[in-house]
Amino acid sequence: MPVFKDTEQMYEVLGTLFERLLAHPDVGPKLIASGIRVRFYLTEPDGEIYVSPKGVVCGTTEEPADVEMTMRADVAHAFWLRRVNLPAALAKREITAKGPVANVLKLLPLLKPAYEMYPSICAEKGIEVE
Amino acid sequence: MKRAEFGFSMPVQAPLYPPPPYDYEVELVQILFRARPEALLGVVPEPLEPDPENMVSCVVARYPRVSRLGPYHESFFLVGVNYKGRFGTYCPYMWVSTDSALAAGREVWGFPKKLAKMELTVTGEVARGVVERGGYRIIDAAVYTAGEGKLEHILFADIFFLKVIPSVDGVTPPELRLASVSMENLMLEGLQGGPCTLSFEPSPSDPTYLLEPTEIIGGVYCRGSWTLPYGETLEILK
Repeated sequence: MPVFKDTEQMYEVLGTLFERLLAHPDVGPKLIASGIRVRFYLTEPDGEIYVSPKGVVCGTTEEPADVEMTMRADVAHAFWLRRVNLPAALAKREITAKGPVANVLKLLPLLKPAYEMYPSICAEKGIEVE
Repeated sequence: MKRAEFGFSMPVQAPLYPPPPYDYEVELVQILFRARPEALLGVVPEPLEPDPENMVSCVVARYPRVSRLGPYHESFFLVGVNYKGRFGTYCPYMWVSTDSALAAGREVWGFPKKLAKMELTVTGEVARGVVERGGYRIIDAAVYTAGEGKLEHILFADIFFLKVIPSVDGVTPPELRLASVSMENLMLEGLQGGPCTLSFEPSPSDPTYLLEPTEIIGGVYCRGSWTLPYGETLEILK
């Protein structure tokens, strides 16, 4: 059974994660200064999340992206819970990243604060984390 | 000397290293490969479990600037592992080129550091890292850098380590602390990669050869920066 019951719940959880990252006192300003624009294509439930220095858009938008990442919502959830072997997931195409590698690498500083925030966001939103 | 005057590390009147965090400038070669499952079981301590992908990362790095610790070279292996459902990497071997890096790594985090001679060079299109200890070339890692490095050839995750603190009296059991650390402010630039080679000369004191690759997945050469903060204790092993 998928972690998120529907697209709305997925937006509530993952959208909050990215909004809080943009507002994070350390990584937020760096993320904004980098100018990077990322679109996440999620499936099961289906949806799109767009993150840019201007903010977070949950849903379809025509805004251009520097990096596009595609994965199942359950994989995204597991990734932010530090349960995913990233090189293996990339090799198996469970996660795909489209865009210059240099742009994808700009996302690396987000990882630690996101890992730290995500379990509590899940708890706030009623998503059980075993 | 008064207690309030003690330095952070020994000797307290002239400490070998200051407290973390340390900020690094980095240049490194990393080769990702698979090793035999039995070999990984031989280096990964319980309660960690080798990840079923049997992935190992071998890194040779040059740190031209490290805040308050000075420049040094470092080499290490990271094995993909799972701890209570959390993916990470375990560091079974690590070598450094200076005493301050050695002592700080062992005493603060529990990194299994030994001193070794090493170098990282770029000649033509090849970046090469070599580690020698006790007359053995225990690591020789080279990457052809003419192409763009691939994300799936990088193994970055939290690092788990087992800090062993022997007792002073020889009677009390040693403290075995399972801990982890996560790099902060991680930036990698100019990721280059291509065909790579990796070899380990058999040494009785540094048996890297037991982790001989069954498959080389890929290699990268890059520059970057990161911050090494304090770690966190996961559990004290009984």
